[in-house]
Amino acid sequence: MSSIPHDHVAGHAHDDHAHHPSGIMRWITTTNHKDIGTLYLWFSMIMFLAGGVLALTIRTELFQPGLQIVDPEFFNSLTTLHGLIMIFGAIMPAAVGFANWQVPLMIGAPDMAFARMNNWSFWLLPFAATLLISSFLVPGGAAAGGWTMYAPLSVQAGMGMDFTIFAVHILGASSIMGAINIITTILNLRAPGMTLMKMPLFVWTWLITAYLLIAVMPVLAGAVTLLLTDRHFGTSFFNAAGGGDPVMFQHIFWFFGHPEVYIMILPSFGIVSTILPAFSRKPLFGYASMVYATGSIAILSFILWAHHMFTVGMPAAGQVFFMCATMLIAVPTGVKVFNWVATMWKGSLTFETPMLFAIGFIFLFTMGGFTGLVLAITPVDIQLQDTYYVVVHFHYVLVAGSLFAFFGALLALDDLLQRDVLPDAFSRPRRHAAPHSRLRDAVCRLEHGRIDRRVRLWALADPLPLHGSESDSIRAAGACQAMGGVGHAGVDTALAGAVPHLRDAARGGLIERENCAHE
Amino acid sequence: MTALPVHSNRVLLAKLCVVVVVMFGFGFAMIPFYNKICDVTGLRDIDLADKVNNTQIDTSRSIRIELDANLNKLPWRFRPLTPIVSVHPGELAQVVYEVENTTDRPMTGQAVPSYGPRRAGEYFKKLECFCFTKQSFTPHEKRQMTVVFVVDPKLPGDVATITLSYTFFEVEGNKT
Amino acid sequence: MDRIDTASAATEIARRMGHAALAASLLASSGAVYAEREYNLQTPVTSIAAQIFDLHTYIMWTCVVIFVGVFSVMFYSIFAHRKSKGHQAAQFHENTMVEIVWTVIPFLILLFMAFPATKTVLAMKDASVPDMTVKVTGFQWKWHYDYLDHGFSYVSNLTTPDAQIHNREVKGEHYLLEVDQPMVVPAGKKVRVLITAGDVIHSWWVPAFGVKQDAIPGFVRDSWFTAEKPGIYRGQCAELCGKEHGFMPIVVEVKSADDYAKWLDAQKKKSAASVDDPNKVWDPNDLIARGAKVYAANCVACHQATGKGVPGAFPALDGSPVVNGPKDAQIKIVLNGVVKDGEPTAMVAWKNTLSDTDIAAVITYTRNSWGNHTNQAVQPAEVKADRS
Repeated sequence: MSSIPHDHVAGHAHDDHAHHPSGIMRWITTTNHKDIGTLYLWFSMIMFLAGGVLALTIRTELFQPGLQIVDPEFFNSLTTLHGLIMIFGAIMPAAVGFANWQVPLMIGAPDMAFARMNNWSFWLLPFAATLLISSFLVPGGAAAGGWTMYAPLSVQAGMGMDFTIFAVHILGASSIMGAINIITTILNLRAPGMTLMKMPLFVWTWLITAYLLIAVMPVLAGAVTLLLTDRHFGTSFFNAAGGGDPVMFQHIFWFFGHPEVYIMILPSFGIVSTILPAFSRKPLFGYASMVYATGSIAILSFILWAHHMFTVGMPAAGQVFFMCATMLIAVPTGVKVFNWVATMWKGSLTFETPMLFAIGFIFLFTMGGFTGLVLAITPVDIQLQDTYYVVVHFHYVLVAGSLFAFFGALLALDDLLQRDVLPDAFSRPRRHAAPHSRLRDAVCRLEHGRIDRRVRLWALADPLPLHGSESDSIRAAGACQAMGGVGHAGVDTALAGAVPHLRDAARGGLIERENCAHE
Repeated sequence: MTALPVHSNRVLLAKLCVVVVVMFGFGFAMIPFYNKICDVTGLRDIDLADKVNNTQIDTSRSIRIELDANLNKLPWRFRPLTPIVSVHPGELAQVVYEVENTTDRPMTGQAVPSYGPRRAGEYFKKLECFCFTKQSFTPHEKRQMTVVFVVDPKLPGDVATITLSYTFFEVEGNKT
Repeated sequence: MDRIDTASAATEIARRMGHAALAASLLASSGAVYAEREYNLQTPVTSIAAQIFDLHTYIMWTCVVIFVGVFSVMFYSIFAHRKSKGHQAAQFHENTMVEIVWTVIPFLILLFMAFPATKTVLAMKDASVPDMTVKVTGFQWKWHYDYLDHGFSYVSNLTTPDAQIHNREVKGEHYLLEVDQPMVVPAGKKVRVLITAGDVIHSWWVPAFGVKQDAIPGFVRDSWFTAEKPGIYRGQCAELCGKEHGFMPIVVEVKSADDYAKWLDAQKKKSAASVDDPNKVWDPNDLIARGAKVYAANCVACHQATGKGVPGAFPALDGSPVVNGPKDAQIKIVLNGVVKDGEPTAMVAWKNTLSDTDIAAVITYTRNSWGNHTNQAVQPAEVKADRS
């Protein structure tokens, strides 16, 4: 039940399943959101390891003072590429991978709205990544001006910088396509009765993330394009000689860069908000306030970019404004943390590995938040800017935050898929866990049979008849069969069902849908 | 989905071609558009002499003007002949910078002014400045260049010192 | 712990708590502890750095309190509300009152943080009325210090030997934090630093002063500090500027007023020696040529290019009895300026801004220009003799 390849090849749809491509072609031509989600996750894993190798090299060099194994210029390349690869290659694609897997399932859509664009937005990534990594091999080495690529240092850099600029362009195009796809899917392909305020929180966070992506990725593309023309076509956007200003690059970059950090963390908020209720056996606390908090974070993220630039010498009024705007972010973020803790409060907690990651997320992400608060205070930031304090701050948020959530999601997914590929730290004695699948069990308990409705809801929704056969198979299958026998359907329903608000959606929507389903 | 006739593909192609043409056209239409914006907002007027409306000399206070010269990767000599002058707000003053091209090739440079504190910039009116145009130098040419300026009497009272700093950049493109 | 005197006992205690908490938490986890290891911001030597230190301590403790509060709830929940203990899940999932409370309270806490922080921001920005100005220019990869008031400048280069960097020698005490010529400033004086760069963006950072300002090519930015205590303070470039970004430290030596005056004198002599020898005997024509430039730079604004001055405001030099009279009198006027009724006039003293040679040249020029034909040349040595 993977893909609909024939459709792709012929350009007009006959549901002819005789020519399923197999092997590598299956993955290259796939338009199935789950396949593409899997591709995203594998890509992200590979890039995570690549970026990890760079990080290990950095730490090896820093094992003791003095120069040991790499020279300073190469060291700068390592830090630059580590940043770019981890951000654009590991974290963002992983988030898109989970969105591909879960968003259609959670909202009862048959697939992503633009299935072929989905394929294209993934397959741009390997090319961009190759361009980025191969820049190590060109004369002058890879870009070494930091992942922020500040002009004029990046203007004087070698050919590696051009590779990086083009790679960023391609990665940006991919992200924008992915975001358009996700927004369209969420806004247009929800099952009947699935109102916006009944969507699982993961869907909400991704909807907001996707808007952020569309708003700011073009800004980054603009910034690096200006850099490119400054480098090669004699413009002086960032050169004072021609009336430009080097600081303008920083303004443009951080106008992208700050929403970007929320692009990387918001999907993780959604994941944690999904995992936590399942293992607490208790509905998410404050669903509506979670949605509003996510929205406020996204809006605020556009008005505080210059807190990355407190040392460039902006006027006092600017510093105070950006300081206060930055501190305001702590309010919705705090609300989220409080809600998570309240979700656990008086629950019936078990500690399977996804839950451990979720708890680890809350604990360590909050440390990232507190260090962020310290950094928001302009005078303190002036001491801490460009020091390891900042490095520590964003690694708390990105590693202990985003990455922990992704690990948790991966394990939950694995668990639901019944693959048992990944180990569960607590699984050996299995005293706290259900016999077959821990999360599934937890969800079933929570759902009290709602899963059944969810499956039918999903099957009936089917606004794009691309997956006729697929929905038919589900339609034919009962809920339990879907959970046990057909792995994929099990995930859909279980994770989606973990959000209790669906109960009413399903009930109301189903009846309505059934009335008009056979018109 | 139903099978589409070949005709509709052609229509789509034609539409897409129109979109391409319009987008290119839009790109070129941006040139006069931006020119107009710059004219209206005065964004590009950095190389024009400032207008002085109020020439009332405020002798009650004097402003210390520190002159500063920088070179951005240029093998020249560039310095103010007097590093510090004192002026009254509203008073017309003239300072001289000396530039020498120490290389064996003709070079063109552009000087960019900057002010410390930054907010003093808007009160520092330059009537004549070598920074308004590109400056070309023959090999080993040494030239003195003047700046005529007035400090606006509206300058905030807590600013007692203004640093006028010039940085000479080579104008790229004249290099080879 | 050495502190500046202004810090009150209360903030002193708070600061010690800041040190102690950080040190304790980190010491606990590290086996080998070196005496000089610092876990907090550097000991402040300016009032701004002290304010920053206190702000950081205040905010960190606030965060610690919130952290403990929130996570004791979470860990209690983890302990008490376990399924393995047979805890049955409650099914509540919202409470508007609670939501409002935990939105408003953090907001109020933030207000209490923003207020002192804003005060410090305003204090940091107030670079007006400095006692002296030093221009700092960042280059790849060294710092250039320019004493604008005194007309000399020098480059400050890393002195850590290559052998230490490449691990062929034991590293010194100030590894990568030592330079050949540090910036020197007097203690207790407000020093304005004008910061710019000659190639890419650098950042001038001295942690003990609480000053970090990006150096932006093409633009000057100003910052300031008043170092309370003599000593040597070290910092680093804080903006990635290329290959040797880690090898361009900043060292500032704060000297007492007397020591600073001595140092200044020595520097001035050194720079004067390198520019012009005041004992050199010049050819009168060279003096006139040089004097024309000095005149154009310093004198034309008032005395005009014609030498006729502005009637009623600035006296004419053309035909002036002073210019056509004894040399000594004119030299003294140029050196010391004109004081009328105890008030300095527009004719300022030039002894601090012009060298002996320049003064000699400009006087020679005026005595032999326009309608003045004294045919007298003033040599730098004569000017030097009249200084005192």
